[in-house]
Amino acid sequence: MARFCNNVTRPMNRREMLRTSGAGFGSLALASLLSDESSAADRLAATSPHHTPRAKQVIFLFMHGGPSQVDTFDYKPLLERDHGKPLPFALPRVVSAATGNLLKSPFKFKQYGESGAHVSEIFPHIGGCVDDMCIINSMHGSNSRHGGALLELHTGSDTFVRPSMGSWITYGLGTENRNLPGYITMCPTLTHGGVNAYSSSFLPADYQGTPLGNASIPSDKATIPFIKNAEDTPRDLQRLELDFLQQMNRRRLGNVGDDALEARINSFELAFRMQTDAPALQDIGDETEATQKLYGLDDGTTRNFGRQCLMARRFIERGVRFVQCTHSYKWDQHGNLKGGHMNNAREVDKPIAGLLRDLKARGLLDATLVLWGGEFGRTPVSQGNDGRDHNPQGYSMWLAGGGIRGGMKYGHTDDYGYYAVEDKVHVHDLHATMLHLLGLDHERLTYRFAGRDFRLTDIHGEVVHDIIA
Amino acid sequence: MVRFLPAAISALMLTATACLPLSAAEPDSKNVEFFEKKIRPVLIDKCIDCHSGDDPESGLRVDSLAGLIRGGERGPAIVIGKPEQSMLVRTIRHGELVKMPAKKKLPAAQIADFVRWIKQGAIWPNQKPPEVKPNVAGNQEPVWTAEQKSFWSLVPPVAAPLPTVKNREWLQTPIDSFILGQLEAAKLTPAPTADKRTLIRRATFDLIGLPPTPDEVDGFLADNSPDAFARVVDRLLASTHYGQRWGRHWLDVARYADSNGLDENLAYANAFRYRDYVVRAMNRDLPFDQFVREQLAGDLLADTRAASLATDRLTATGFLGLGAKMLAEDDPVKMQMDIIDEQIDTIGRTFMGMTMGCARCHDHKFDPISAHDYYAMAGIFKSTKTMENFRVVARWQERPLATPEAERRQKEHEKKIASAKAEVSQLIEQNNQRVVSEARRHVGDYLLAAMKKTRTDRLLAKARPRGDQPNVASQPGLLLVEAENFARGNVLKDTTSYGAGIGVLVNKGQLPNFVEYDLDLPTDGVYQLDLRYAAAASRPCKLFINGELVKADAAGKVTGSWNPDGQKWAVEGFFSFRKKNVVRLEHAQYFPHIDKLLIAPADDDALSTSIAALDEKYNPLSQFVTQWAKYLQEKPKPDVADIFKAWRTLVLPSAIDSASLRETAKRLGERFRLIDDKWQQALQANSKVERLDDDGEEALRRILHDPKGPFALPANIENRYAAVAQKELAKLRETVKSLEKTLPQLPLAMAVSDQSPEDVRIHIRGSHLSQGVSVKRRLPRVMTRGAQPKIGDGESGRLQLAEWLSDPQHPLTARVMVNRIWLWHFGEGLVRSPDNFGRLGERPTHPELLDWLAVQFVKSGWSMKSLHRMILLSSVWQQSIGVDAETFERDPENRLLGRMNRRRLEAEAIRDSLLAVAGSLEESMGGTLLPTKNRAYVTSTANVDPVVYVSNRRSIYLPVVRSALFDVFQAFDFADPSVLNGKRQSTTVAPQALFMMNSQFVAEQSRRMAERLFVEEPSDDVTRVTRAWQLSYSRPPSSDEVTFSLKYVDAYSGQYKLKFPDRSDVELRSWQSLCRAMMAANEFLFVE
Repeated sequence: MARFCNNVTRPMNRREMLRTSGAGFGSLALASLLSDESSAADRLAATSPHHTPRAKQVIFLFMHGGPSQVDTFDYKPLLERDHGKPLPFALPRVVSAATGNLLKSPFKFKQYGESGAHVSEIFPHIGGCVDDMCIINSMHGSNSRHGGALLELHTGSDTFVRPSMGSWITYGLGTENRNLPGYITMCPTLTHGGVNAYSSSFLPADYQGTPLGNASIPSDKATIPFIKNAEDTPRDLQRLELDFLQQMNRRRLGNVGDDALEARINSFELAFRMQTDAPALQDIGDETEATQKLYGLDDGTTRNFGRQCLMARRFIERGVRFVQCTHSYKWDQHGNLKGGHMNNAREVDKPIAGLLRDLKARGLLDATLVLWGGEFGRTPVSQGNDGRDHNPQGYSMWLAGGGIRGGMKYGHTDDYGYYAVEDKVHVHDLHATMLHLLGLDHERLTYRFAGRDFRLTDIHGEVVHDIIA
Repeated sequence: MVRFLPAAISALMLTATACLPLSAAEPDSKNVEFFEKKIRPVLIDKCIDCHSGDDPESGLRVDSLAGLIRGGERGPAIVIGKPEQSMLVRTIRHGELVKMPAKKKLPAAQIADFVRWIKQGAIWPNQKPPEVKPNVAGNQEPVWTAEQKSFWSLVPPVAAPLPTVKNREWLQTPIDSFILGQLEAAKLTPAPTADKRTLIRRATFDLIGLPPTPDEVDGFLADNSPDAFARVVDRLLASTHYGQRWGRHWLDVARYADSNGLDENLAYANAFRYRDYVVRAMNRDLPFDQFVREQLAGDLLADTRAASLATDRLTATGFLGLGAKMLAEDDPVKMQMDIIDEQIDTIGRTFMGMTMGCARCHDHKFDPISAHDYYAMAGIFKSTKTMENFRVVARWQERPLATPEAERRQKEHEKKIASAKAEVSQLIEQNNQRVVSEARRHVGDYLLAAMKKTRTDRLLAKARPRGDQPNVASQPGLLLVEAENFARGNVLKDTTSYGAGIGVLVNKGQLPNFVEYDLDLPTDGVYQLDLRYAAAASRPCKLFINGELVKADAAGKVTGSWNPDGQKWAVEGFFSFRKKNVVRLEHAQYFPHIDKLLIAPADDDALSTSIAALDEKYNPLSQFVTQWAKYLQEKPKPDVADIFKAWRTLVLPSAIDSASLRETAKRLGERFRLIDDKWQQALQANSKVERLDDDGEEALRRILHDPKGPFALPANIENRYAAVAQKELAKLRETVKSLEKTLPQLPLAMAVSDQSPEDVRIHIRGSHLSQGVSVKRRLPRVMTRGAQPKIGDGESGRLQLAEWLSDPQHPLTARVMVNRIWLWHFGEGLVRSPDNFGRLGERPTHPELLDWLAVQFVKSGWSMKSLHRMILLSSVWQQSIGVDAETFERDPENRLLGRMNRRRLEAEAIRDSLLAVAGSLEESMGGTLLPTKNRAYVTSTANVDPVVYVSNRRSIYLPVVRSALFDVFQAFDFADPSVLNGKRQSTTVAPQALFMMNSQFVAEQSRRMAERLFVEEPSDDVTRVTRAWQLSYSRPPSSDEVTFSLKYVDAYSGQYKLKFPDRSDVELRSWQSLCRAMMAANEFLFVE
């Protein structure tokens, strides 16, 4: 295992030098001397990864609140048998709240697909996709509170503000479509860390996730900040103004010449194109009725998240590197487990299955890694009468597409689903595996800040090779 | 990664086989066999790959007994005979701290084998329990080499003599000698001096973060005296804007924010006091050493007791508490250590450019800072109170900022509130006693009333709405009333909107709504009352029968909707009616949609007759009655069972002779009255008496006085007070309220204090679950050079830390700060990693200059303003940005400073400049714009960001909300306020362009600027364009630029008229467009 703090001399390629040497004018000037750099400020250009990638893009379906593993993807017959008995082993040293005895799932499990994986009845549609999914039943994390756990899942650290995984990935790979942001997060939550979940932290702002709306805004109203002119100026008038601006900038450029100034000129053109492309992209009128139905857009229950999923596909189609959809802060069932989880599942089940089917039908699933999960799972013991507390000790997430072996379950929790016990996958391991699938070596994807090299996995993380096809 | 160490493995294998025959000489062959079969194979299979050889993982070798006993950096792996104390056992059990083998726990049987093996003496053939000393975890402090100790930044700076240079004319300040020295050595020449317009623009942005006004530019151009520029600099340094600009720079390294961010984003609503303190300190040029002392230990400085100083200095320590914290961490010990870590890391980098935080997990890998140094510092901050508690959600400490006089007044006021409150309680107590004492005299009446209530309840339990029955209108004896046929009332009748044939009552405008019905019935008696109504929300009405309130929540259910589909019958109750009645309904606001009333004789004749026979008046809303009814239905306590025996038997039959009931009630009532008399006498004789002597009597007395019994205090008891008492009470309460309202609010500041001192143990690999030796509180060894200040047993050591850091001899404090100031003037520091002066940081480009400046800084009394003056008056700062291709080629990064760097404005300067050229900038200073209450969630779980950034004040006053940063700031590379940052990024991203093109803010400022142009230059297009140029770029346009601009305005007007022929704002819109383009142009956003 590499001990990262030791890493003093590291070969730097020119691109990395450009990235890390302050990112100010010095570096930009330096860049102009590097003939192989197409544009000085082009930090977002698509770059080649460390090794041959299996996936090129990522969709992260984030279930904020913490879905319960034993009520979704981790089938535990013994939990049902021993319902009401005390947990036969010790609780973790640190817990969030007092809990009671074992609480069986209020839901039935059914086997699906050729693989025969057990999935809870609340996910009938996702159940139909299990042959494309790898369900990891042995996830574990380090923090039992939403804020810490959410931060860890998104950034690898449960204590400090660090770049988010989408930022790391965009930093590592750039973007394929210069008319759209490389990293988009739809309706992100503002709580439990808010922007930290998609911030680039000390990485340059280029790698910041672009939020579309936030969790309180319906997904069909969520847009890129400032994408629309505040005074509703017609496009051609704005073009006129922009032409004038660019002329002024070019005159100045003739005087003094500087790549930073050139880059600004480009950024305005990009913004103008984005302004055209993004709203067109968000107008889903060109999708067939069948497609809209596939995502559940015809139903009030599924419409909101369905639209997020459909938008995710549209962004992926157009080369956005990392898309996150958030089903915001609904899964925290300290009480009303049955009703709460059933309603939540109803809102996302069909849209998610629709997304997987649609990606597959369009041949996009092979190179798109889809990740599903929350910041932690829940306790198999009860909280109150009909609730479960937070549980980072063992829970489930699943992956699909992007080089993942479909139709498999990986790892185990104990008989009741409390602790991960076999083939354990820490959040760091998940990150390492995701980067690996994208062609990035998690130990080599580094950034020098405040005198040391940082990485998404800190000093941890092992690639889980067994789940790769 | 699996490391194969064939040698070690084969050695182990060898012993595995070779030593078997020898085992006869060893203890008990059974034990040996156990080891060989159960233990050794597991060690080889699962552990030895990493834990053997010369550099084993975490220092632990498992290929010998000695290795296990000695252990690794976490201490010994086994304690012979004591499996429960053995790290190895905890680890293979997958304890919290370390879990091995990492991916898969050993089977339970194998874990049991290890436990057994250790318990039975850890027999390892050929190896006796040797004389091995177990490691004490974290015991070894490294010894630094001479090379480490003499690292450039750890040696106190010494001012070198000024280098001699050829081009002496270029020198304006000593700084220039150092710069020119190196340029000449590299055979480079400095760029020419910038023109006066460039200089004043650059200086103004540098010092106050705003563009110069056209008048200021003109004034400077007209001033040909040799010290013209020096006067500009002095004017800017004296401006209050200086503190806003340079205070903001400092806030970057103080990681200032108005909210916690991280997990629980609570408002730091008092943080702004620290920000205002920083601005004040900058403006009065508070010596930097004092600035350091105040922020670290302002509360402890010797002269802080002077009231005039206390407020500022307490506020200054907000520096220590401002950091982002995980406030919801279930492990309070971890939470505290994380907060301490944040403080150490911030102090290390802010003042010393040392990444001390690295030593939390292990001795620093590059710089001579040991884990001992770290935990010695951690002790200082463990002995400092930053937090009030470490619960979830934890509370940071705030301290009142007040003069003793203000505190005295506060206390007095609080006393007044307390005494007024005491009066209220006393009055309530008195009157309660009065009410209950009176009630106790009437037990008989309550018994009868309770009887009536019980029977009525029984009726009610069986009752179904009679109105539901078919053909109800034609049933004899029923009285069906359409609601709109009221005798008196103040509401409207709506017979159309809510369904054909359904007339309902709706509000006419007067409140309360009321209606009265005059109803005639054939006989006196108990009747069932039903109402038919629709309600989508509960609107409970008061129901009066013949003037008496009989129900407070009539028609109070939610039936589903306001419309016909919501119309439902409900039983309201059984009430006594006479032949002639007035029924009144009343609601303080609006009625539900009442359609009909129905009065019907009770179904159960016998029961209703028995109720009617009890013609006692009783208030069905009286809680005493309810309590008595409840009491009588409970199983009686044995000691009073006899007393109520007769009564209980009377209750059961529904019809009973009311005279005998009354008689029994009267007798019981008298009995209780006697008891009460007796008790009063006993009290008079001895106020401390606790009970009546006779057990039987005492049992009855307890019924009267049981605080949970039938005479428990009713919730609405105040309604029973005498009118005069109610009035008095209301008045007293008003007094309390107004006193509370006028309680002076002492301002609070986030501030620290000392708490009982304690040393901290080394945390192995940073974990509080694995601790080594305790380290005494002290300062980092390598930098104190043997001169450790004494930290007394009763002190935290924070004062010593502050004094040491601000000592002129400190190798880093002055160097780090002058480098920061240099960076904020040039865009790059002399050390280009301003927060890291360690081995991984950059080396200074001009080491002698850095040291000379550091020494000079201290000599000048740590005056920042003197330093600014010297820098701005230097030739190096006054250079133009230069276009000499050769120089550029040979020094592309401008490390030798042969030209000035072009810099993009920071987020705040961009926004402030937009406001300034538009003429909208508000100049007020200080205070807070955060709308959120202290400690309330800034970003709520409803996912609404309540912070609005609409303000024309300078950007330093906009709230800095962590985890939800103002998106404009974010787009323009505002420093992440969760960590200190001495050098902002400067990116060029599309969101910046979108903001300039599309935001409401830029639209508004460009419109204002256009309006301003028309006000200032009403008649002439050319002078208007000229004015626009002077405002935005501090220069007049070339004639070409004038033509080009006016052509644009024309073109825009033409297009605009075509698009919007009806609009009259074409001129303003066209000029606004010109202004917006000018604001978005590179020349606006960059300083040359």
